[in-house]
Amino acid sequence: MENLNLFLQPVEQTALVAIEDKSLLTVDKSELSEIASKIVEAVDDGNADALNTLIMAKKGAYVFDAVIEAMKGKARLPEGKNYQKHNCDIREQMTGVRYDFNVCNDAVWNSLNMQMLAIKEQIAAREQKLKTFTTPTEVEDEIDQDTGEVIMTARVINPPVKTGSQSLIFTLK
Amino acid sequence: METINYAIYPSVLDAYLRFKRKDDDETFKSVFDKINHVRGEQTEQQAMGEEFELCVNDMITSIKTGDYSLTLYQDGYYRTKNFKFKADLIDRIATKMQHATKKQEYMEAIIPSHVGNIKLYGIADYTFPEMITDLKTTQNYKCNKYKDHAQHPSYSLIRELNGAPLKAFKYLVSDFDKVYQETYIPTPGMHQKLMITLFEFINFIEYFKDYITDTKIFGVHVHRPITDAVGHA
Repeated sequence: MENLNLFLQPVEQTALVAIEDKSLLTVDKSELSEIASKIVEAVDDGNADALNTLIMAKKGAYVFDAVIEAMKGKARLPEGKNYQKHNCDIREQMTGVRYDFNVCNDAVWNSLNMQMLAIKEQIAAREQKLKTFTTPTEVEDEIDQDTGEVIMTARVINPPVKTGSQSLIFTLK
Repeated sequence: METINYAIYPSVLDAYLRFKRKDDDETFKSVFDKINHVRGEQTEQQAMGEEFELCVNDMITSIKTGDYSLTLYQDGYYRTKNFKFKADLIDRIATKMQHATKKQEYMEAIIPSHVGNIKLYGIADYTFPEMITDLKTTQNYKCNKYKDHAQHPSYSLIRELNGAPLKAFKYLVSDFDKVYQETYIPTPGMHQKLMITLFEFINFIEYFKDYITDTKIFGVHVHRPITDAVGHA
């Protein structure tokens, strides 16, 4: 791992993450952020190994995600809908709310929705066509076959930019 | 002299990205106010951030010269014109930044593209030989707050195009109580994503060109600020 202590300061050899005197139950958001920041700093300064740190974090996330999922329906607020405990504001509200506007019989919404669906389809078709361009290509005027109208003047079409990044994929065993 | 078709800096890109994400009350109007350099009232948070940075810079100068201009009060705070800041916090940040080779360094790169020449420019807070650090203040910090910001891809791309690539860009963030660090390693993917954002933003300003009253964004009369070197340690 490359040393990223680029502040040109001597690296502290002592443990940088002092979390022994804190409890996960009672810390506030700024303390949690500080813990995360100090762990990153320890890696940057070469005091901790980046891959080992990532493996620990992935395993921690696995445990905490499972616990969060399992507590759904079990954790209840003692009173009312709003509650504060251990530096957390907790409130109960409906999540994943969705409305279906198709049933409203609103002509304007129906029309806009149909336009959007049609445009989405047109964009998808256009994108498929653009994907076939692999180098900048000169194209002639594009004519609407039905109206004879020029819908795009002659120009150079550039290929779309394909993005993506290399990532580490973890499989816990 | 090269023709500049667009002159874009990171904070205007950030405003556009926040508007797209509907973050922080950024509106269509506020994005164009930024493009048009319409100055609003300075908020207390902004004033506090400015004085905090001045306080850090004073302490950096003190560390380097041995001449301490800030007075440490008994309550453990330094006082500035309108605010007071925790002395240990200022000292920690200043100690980290003391080896910066420059502060408030203006930098730019011209990017030729299918839409014309794009000048990407800005002022970097603290420059180190292989790193740029931006000092940020916020009342409400959360982890990876600056992950989607345009500064780290912009400055790392400028440095790469100028033949001096960065190993890292770091945000040193303070909520006036603690200090947090976010590190971003420049990658081709990061720069590619920035270019896509630039092209998207250019489409946006071209489409809404009528709303633009200050033509600096189209590369006309770009003011070049004076750089302020703090000397090499």
